[in-house]
Amino acid sequence: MTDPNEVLRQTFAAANGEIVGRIRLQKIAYLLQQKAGSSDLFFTYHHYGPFSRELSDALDWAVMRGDIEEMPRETGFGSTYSAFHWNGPQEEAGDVAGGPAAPETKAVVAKLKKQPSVILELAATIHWLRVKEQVDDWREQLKIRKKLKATDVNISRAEGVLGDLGLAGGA
Amino acid sequence: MATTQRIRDPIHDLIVFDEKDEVDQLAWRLINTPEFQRLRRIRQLGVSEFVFPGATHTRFTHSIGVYHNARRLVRLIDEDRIDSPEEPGRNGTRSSEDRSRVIRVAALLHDIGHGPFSHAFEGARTALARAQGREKIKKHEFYSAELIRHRDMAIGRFLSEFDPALPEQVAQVIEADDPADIYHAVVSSSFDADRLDYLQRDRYMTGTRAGSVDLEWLMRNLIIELIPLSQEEDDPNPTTAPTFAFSEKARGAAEDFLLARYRLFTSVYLHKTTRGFEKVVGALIEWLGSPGNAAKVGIEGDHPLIRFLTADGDGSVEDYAHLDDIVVWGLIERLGRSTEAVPRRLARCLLDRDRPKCLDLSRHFGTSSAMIQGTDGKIMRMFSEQLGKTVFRDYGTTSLYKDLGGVAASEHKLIRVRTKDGVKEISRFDDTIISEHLKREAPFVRYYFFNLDEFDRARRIMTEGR
Repeated sequence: MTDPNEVLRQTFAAANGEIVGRIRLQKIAYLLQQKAGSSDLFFTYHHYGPFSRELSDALDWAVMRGDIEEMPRETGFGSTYSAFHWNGPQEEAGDVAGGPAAPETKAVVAKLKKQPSVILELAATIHWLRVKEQVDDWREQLKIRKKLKATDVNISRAEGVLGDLGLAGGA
Repeated sequence: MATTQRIRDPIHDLIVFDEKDEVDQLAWRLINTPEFQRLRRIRQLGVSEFVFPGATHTRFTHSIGVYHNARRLVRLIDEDRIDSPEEPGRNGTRSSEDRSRVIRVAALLHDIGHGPFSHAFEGARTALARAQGREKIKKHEFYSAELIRHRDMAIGRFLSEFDPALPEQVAQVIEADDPADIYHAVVSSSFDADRLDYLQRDRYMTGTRAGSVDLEWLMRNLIIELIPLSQEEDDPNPTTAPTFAFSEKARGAAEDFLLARYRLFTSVYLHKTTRGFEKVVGALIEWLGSPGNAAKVGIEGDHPLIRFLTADGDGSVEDYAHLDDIVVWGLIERLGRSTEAVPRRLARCLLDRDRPKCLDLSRHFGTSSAMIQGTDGKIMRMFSEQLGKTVFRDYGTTSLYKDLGGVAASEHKLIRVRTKDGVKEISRFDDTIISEHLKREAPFVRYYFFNLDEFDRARRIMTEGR
C-alpha cells in the first residue's frame, strides 16, 4: 500500500499547501487516486462518503509533528472546522506529467478546492456507488443515503466535477 | 390475540409492550424472530468482559433498550413537547404516524446486522479483503438493511405483513448517512436512542462509575435546532436539517453526558488489555479466512463462518444470519486443540485469558509524537514477519467526539446548546469544564507480544529512544 504520509504530502503539494476541511482533503485524495491511479490508499464508506482511516491518521500525526498547521475556525452554527497549512518538507513530489505537483494536477485540485465540500462529497459518493459498489441505480441510492444533500442541482454539479476529472463514465 | 408483554431491565426497569399499541405488538413479534434472537448470542462489548467480568450483556438487551428510548423520544416529537425556538422546518413530517412507527422499528432493528465480536470481526474482514485486492467490504449496516428487506426471513415477512412499504422504509433509515427530518434524530443524533442506552448500560454492566447521565433532565430540556450537514462553512446556502440540542438549563448535564461517553471510550472501549484480546480475535478470524487454512485444521468448508469468510467477494446474508459469538467460540475451542502452532497459540490466548504483554508507546512517550512515531517505525520493521502472528499492533488517534473507527463525529452528532446569543457546540463556552486537551487528537500506539524475548527486544528499543 502507498505510504499514507506520502499521499498526504503529495495532496498538499497539489493543493499549493492549503486545504480547508477534513472532508475536502479526503475527497480530493480519493478523486485524485481514481483519476491518476498514483496511489492505492484503502477507502471505506462512511457518513461523508469514501474515507481513508490511514489518511485521517496521517493528517493527525502530521499536525502533532508540526508538519501541518491546523487552524480552527468557527461556523455560524456554533461548531468548528479546520483549515490546514503544510509546513513540512518542501521538496516537490514527482514534478512530472500527471504527477501530484504537475501543473495540470494543480489546476484540477485548484478547481476542486473551490467546490463546496457537499459537492465533493456527492461526487466521491457517486463514483463510489457506480464503480466500487456497482449500484445500478446509483441516483436512487444516493438520495436514500443523503436525502437532503442529493438535490438534482447538487447532483448535477457533482457530475460536473466528475466530468472535469474524466471520471464521468464510471470506470 | 394481542396481549401486553413486559420485560424487566436493569437500566430502564419495566419495558412494556402494550396490547393496544400496534407498533409495540409488531416489535414483540420481531423480537421473537430467529434473526433477533441471534442477538442474544452476540455480546455488546465483545471481549471487554475479559477486563470487566460483568460486561456480558448482549446486543439483544441493548436493542430492546434502544426501542424503549426511541418510543419515549418519538412521543415527545409526536406530542409536540420539544421546544423549537425558531420553528425550524420539520420537512413535512410533524406528528406523522407513519414516520413514528418507521423510526421505532428502525431503532429496534438498528443492530440486527451486527456480526460476532462486532468490530474485531469487521476489522478481520477488511484485512482479508485487502489481501484479496478487494477495495471494500459490506459493513454491518448493509447486512441490517438486507435482513430487513429479506422476504424469506421472518423479520422482512412480518414487517411486510404489517405494511408492504415498511421493510423498505425501515431499511432506508438504516442506510441513511444524514438526518432527513427530526424523527431521524431519534436514531442518529447527539442524543439518539442508541447512545442513550449504551452509555448507561455499558457503564452499569462494566461497573465503571466515571461520568453520569442525567437522563430525565436532559429529556426535559431537549430542543430542536437546524444544523448544517457539512462540516465546513464554505457554502453560502448550506444544506441543513433539524436535530436535537439542549436548552441552557441543561448545559451542565449535557457536559456530563459528553464526558461520560469520553470516559467510556478511554477506560472501557480503548482499554489496553481489551484491545489486545480484540487484536487476537481479529488475527484468528483472519487466519481462518485465509485460503487453505481452515482445511489445514480440519474445519469443513461448509462451516457457516468459513463459507462466509471464503466466499467470492462478500458473504451472503443467509450465511451471515448464522454467525454469532458461540459459532466463533466453537471454532476457537477446536483451534485450541490444533497441531497448527499459529492458530493454537491465538486460541489458547483467548481460552485461557493468557493476555499478551502490552508495550504502550503513547504512555511511555506522552505527547511526543515524533518519539512515538520513530519508535513505532523501528519496532514495526523489526517484527514485520511476526505481525499478526505473535506480535500485534494497535494504533490510532482519539479525541472528544471520535468513534472507535477513528472517525470524527458528523455534524448532527455534536452536542449543542442554545443560549440567548445563539447556538454553540458545548465545548465552545468560556467556562466549560471540558478541557482543551480533549479536543486535540491524542495518539495511541501499542504493541502486544506473545513471546517475552520479543517483548524485551521491543522494550529496549523504546527505552533507548527516550
